[in-house]
Amino acid sequence: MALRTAGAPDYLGLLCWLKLKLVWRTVTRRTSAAIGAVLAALIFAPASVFVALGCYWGFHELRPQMAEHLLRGVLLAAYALWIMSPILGYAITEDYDIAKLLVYPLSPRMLLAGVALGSVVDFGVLLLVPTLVVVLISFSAGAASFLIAGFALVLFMLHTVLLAQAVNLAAAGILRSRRGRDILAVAIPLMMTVFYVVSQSLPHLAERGLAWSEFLESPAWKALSFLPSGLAARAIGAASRGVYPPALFYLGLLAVVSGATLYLAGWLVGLVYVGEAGSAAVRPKRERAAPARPRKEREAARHTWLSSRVPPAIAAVAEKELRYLVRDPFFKATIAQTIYMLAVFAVMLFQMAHGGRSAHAISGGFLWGGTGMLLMVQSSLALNSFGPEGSAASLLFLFPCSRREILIGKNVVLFLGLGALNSVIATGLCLAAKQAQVLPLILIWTVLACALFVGCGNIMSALFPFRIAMKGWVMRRSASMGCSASLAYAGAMLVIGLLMLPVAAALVVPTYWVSRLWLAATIPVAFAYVASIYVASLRMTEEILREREPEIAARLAEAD
Amino acid sequence: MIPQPSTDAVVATNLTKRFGQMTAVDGIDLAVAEGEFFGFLGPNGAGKSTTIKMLCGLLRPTAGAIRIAGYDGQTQPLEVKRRIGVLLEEVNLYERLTGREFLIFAARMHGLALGEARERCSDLLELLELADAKDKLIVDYSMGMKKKTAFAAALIHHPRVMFLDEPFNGIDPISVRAIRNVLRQLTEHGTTIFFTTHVMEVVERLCTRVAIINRGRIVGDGDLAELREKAKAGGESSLEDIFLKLVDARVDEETLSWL
Repeated sequence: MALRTAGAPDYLGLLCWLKLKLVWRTVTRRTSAAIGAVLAALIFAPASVFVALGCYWGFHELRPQMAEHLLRGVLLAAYALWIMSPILGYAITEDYDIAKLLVYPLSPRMLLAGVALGSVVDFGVLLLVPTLVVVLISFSAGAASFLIAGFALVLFMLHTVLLAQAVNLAAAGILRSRRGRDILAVAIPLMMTVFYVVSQSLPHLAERGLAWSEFLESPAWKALSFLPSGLAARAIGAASRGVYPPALFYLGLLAVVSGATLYLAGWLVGLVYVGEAGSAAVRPKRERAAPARPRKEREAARHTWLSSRVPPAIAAVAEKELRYLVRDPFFKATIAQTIYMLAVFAVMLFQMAHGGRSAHAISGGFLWGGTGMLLMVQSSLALNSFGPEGSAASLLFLFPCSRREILIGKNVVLFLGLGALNSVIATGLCLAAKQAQVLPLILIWTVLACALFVGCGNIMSALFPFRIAMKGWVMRRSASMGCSASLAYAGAMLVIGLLMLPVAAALVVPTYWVSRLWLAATIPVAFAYVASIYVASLRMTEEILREREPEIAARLAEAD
Repeated sequence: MIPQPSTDAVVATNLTKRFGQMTAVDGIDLAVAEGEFFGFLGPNGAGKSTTIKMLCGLLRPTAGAIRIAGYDGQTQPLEVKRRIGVLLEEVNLYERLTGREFLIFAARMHGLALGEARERCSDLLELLELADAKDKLIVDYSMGMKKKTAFAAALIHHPRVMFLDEPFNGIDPISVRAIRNVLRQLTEHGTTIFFTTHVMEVVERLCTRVAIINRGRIVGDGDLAELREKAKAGGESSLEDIFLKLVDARVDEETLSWL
């Protein structure tokens, strides 16, 4: 065959093809993914159009100066979301990993152009298009203002996409490191908690006289308006009013910032080329000093104490679970979500109290219901106790110990962990609601409900196991968690709720409706009831495991 | 022909596994004697890993019977698991434990006393050159280190039968030598090694008997001389030649014309 000389490859076309293909495959690789994508489009596309229509209404109904402030706000929100998305883990997908492209003869500039162009087909970017079109229509008073608005939006988009990629690249090393992901798994839900509390507090602040005009004149808002989103809005606003010199000035400033971003992003891609950043980087790891001797001795003493009192397999599983509870981001994320739910409860309590309801009546109901609801939030821990094992479940099932011992080892740690956490939360709630007199009963309720949940969770864990793992700060469930399993989960929650009723009745009825003296009889009965359910659950689960271990291991080994 | 169960550590009879329409393992019969170093070879997708997973109880056979160390694989799975050590091709470890913690965990799950577990753990970490990394989390280990840790965990309770699926993949030559020596020592003490690899030299050097599986069926079983005879290969032919003949591999002499 004769040697064929080809022209320069169309790298940009190839990169765009790759991006489109990978996005398409991500959506179509499984029916569930395709359904998810369609559902997301059905939910978010109307939402995107709704936001665009809202903006259209605002741009036309508000005074021109306020309309420009609205534009600044809209572009700022889009800007923040875009820049934050790689940190939140959404943009860290296979198609974004330019480190995989480093083996091909592509220049850094070409890589950057490909990445920036590829971003245009991202879901988040597409959702922004209706709003950008509305901006263009609303702020174009003539050909000149149309051109300036269009140019400003293109520059803004270019800058934002490039900066998002720069953040992605700069953060890649941190985000893909174990420690980085562990920190994010806890930090993001906590950030969401703060966001939720602030967003719920704003209307109350507004009611108390937060003046928007004061806010718009504040130094913070003025400073934010000098971000690229603000520069674009200023240029567009000025052009729409026919004031062209400042419009061109802000456009020029935006062009300079965009140029600088291009330079920064190009520099970062260059760094990836020489292996100093991104996932391709190989950094020498700092050697950790050997742990101090006393710690080792303490550990040894703990081992001896534990192992002399319980069968070795229970102790081994319990110790392993305890270490995972401390080290696995999944558990930390679940606890962070519990705190998030707690914040939601607190805000609801505050709002209801603010609405004039009796604080005593509210807190009474919330204390019992809220502490029970905490367990529902933590259900992913109890109802899928083999889930975090993932493919290591096959290793666990290779051990020759009795399955009851494995279950007890897991249950003890989960019960103690959740019981302790929920007891602390319940104590805090009782004290905050000035209901210290019911604290002992609430603690008994918390402990019993937790034991019941863990017991029922054993059966569900064996019947409907699914792999669960942290991807960034997001908990990912395996494909096997399909519709039938989701229905089973809903059913299980209902059954657990029903099983909890006698326990709640044993504590609530004597306390509020009969006589507290009855508690002396009802509390032991409640303990016996929960213990019998737990023992029965152990037997059933052991039987299920005996029958289904290979299937459970195979299901847990499934890829996400 | 299946030898007497009393002397065999691993016996599989008519072992079959189907995944939907696809038959991965098609009614194979195997018998591996105690203390034997048994090589289980086959091309990619031939059914080696599926067979090992069925033998150690991680995959339910569609049909057939399994006996390991005299115990029935389906009715006495815990008795079987007490006597085996398994190193699978895909290494599944508790990555949030340190190497030392994991090995002690594995030892105690097999019922070893804590002191004994610690002692064996230290010995294995030293032998496999993992001592310096013993307090690092496994998630931070390299693939080779993970494999060595998995091997140590499979060995720590001194099993009677070891199933090793591609044990030398990704392991440095120093550790390969150490592992080989340990395996030899194990067989001298009566442990049976059931071993898969694609490296024919290793099989020739270590294994006392070899079975070759292709498309789910055993196409050859015996020592090197018996396999030569079965493949009708010459007296000087290597295991690689025998293997290629038995799996009916079409190795084209033609190369890429554009190279």
